[in-house]
Amino acid sequence: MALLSRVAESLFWLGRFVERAENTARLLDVTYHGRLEPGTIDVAGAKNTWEALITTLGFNRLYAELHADVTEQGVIDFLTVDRRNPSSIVSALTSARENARGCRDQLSSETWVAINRLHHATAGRNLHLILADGLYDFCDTIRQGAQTFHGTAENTSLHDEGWYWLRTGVLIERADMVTRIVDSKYHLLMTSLEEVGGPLDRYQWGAVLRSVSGYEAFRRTHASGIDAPAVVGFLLLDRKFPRSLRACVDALRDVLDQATEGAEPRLRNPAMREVTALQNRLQFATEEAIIGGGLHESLATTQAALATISQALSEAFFWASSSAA
Amino acid sequence: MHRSLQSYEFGTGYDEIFEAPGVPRAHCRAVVEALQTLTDADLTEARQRADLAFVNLGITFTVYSESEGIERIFPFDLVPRVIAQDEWRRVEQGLKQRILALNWFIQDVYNEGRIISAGLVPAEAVYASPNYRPEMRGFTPPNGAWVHIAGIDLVRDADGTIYVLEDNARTPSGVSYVLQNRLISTRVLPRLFAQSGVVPVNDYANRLHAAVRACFGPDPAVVLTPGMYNSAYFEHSFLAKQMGVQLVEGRDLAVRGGRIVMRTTRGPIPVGAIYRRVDDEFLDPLNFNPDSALGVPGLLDVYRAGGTCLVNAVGTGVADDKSIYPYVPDMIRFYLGEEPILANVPTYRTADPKDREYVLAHIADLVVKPANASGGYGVVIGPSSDERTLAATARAIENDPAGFVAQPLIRLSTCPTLIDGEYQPRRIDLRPFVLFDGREPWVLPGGLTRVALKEGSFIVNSSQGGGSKDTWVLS
Repeated sequence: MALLSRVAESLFWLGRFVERAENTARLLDVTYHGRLEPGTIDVAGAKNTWEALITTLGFNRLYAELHADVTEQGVIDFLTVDRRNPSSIVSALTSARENARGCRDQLSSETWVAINRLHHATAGRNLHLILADGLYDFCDTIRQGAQTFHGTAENTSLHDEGWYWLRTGVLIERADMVTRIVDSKYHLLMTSLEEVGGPLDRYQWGAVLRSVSGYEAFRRTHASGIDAPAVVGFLLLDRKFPRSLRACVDALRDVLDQATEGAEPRLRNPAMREVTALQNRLQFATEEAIIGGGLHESLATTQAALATISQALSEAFFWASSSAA
Repeated sequence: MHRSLQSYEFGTGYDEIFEAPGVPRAHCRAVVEALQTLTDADLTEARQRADLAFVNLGITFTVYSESEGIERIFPFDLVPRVIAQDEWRRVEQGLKQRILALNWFIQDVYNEGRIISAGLVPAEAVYASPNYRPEMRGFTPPNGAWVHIAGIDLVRDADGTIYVLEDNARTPSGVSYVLQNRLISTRVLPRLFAQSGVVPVNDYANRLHAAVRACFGPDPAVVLTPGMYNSAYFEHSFLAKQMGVQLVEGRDLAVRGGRIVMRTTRGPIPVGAIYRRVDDEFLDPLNFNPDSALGVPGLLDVYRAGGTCLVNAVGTGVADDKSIYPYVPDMIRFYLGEEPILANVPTYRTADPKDREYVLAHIADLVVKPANASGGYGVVIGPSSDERTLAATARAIENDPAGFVAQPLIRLSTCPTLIDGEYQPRRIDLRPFVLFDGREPWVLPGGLTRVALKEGSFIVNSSQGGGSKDTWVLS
């Protein structure tokens, strides 16, 4: 059955917003619990950790408009329940649910229940409740709810065109987020060159890995231990870790191929060209070359490529600016 | 017996389950016996499971109050409303008769106007109705079917008589609750349900799809919704999913080459019949309300030229206008040559000087309704209104005589309902759903039983504190 342009767009954004909520919860959890480690606060200072988190997510301006100071409570509030931040966890899940509602007839009933539950589990929360129950519990609810959503969607939906648009949204968001996470530790890479391999360095990179559930996977594949280039290589280039940039882009190319199969070349080609170019670049990259050529610049190029793909899809297939219809 | 079922008192009215305190009606004995085995703990657990299921399934409607819409669940009462098989057979025949008469009436008033020439319905009651669509004059829809779906509201008075309270021939809603209530009650009270021998309701979506497709094949049918902020959006998406068709909004559709197409990721694709849940005046900004963002420009022209079929047809509101309602028994006699099986509530048309005089003199005993509104809005119940309200209503009638009708107060029958863990009598009505494909009407067994949860209240509408019950037609 042909898919409405509006519905394709809604499914794409449903995927992106669920993924965004989950990634925000993961980063928040790691940052919060990282600051409790002795030694880290002395060196980096709690304030810088939270500032770094806001920078990672690209929210410096919006945050500054709403808060005078970067405080732990301020940032947690901003990222969890503040509806003025369209990417806060509660906002993202509300948007996810609105998009799901708009294409509810296309979702399996169980998938709808999964997203609806996740929304209800968070919508009524305020900062006080979250801190009272512990931030860990809150973040864990989001992580588990998002994983339930992905699993339910995968195992109860028809894997037709709509499914591939949902996956496209998830993968673009996940790829974008991993570049941001790596980029946020770019300064660490630079400042800690003198003491590479020192305890702080190892701790910080361990936290980065944990934020994407990659710590254990990394340990299994890197017997020699944690060092910055190895972590960068793992998060950007590992083929087998499902949250690495390369794994996301490989999967993105496949799902885009399916989502746009049979569409006119003029509609299909711009996004396919861009994703294939990105895939090729990652396939032949090495961590040494990426760091040597400027990590930050390389990540910025990748983020721009993901934005181009997203824009090309929107122009060709989505309701708002569709040229297909 | 559960203590509050034992001591259940329903006063002087008609109770659907008990014929006297402690004495169940014959057809309800099995259900009452099964209910007795449920302890407080069972009921509490079932209650919690049902509430949770509704929230998780997102079975909600939107209430419009001051400024913003709020999503609510439609309160569901665990105690079913039980209808005996022989009574249902009669009701079913009466409903079929009624939808046919309404359908032929609409065909008639947009074409020959025979019933008007015959002097049975005054011309102004038809042609001056805001729901009469001059655009449809001379039109005959595919298979002659105007009203594919009707919701006909029934109430039972204190003496046990069932009356038709009103007809809904535009876009009646509520059927999704019938299907979901059944799902939930079988889930939370499986034993009670299994022991009772209840006619299933799950054929509705197939029947609906068949009725919709019958009027325009073979291109895919769609459900047209005003969008997710509409109060009945849940139902629109539910029905689309159950029928296996696309749920579209006006912005998804366009006119191309005399057909309606939907905008897909592979370009425009022609659609067949449109089960539209958008009101007439919002369907087509070129032909009706120019400010409507919900419609499709040019839709009506395509429809009149035979390029699509709308379900229900445009202009059916002329038949469910409250000022046309008094004439439905005559329609049945006129078009079908049969006596009406289901009675009308006696209705006074305040446009008629004699009726108006009577209404103004007896306003404290009557129920006054706006002729052209739904959802229970604007209804004034004389016996429970104060002097000021009655005076204001009388003035409103004098200023706009055609804007109102009045009826005696029907003492709606009651049904045991769980209120804070106790069985208490609450008033109910019934909205059965009737489908018509142009050949043969079909009635969904039972329908939506709505219940006024407030003690003594007569208003069962969901927007005004009503709830619903599962409706069991016994096999």
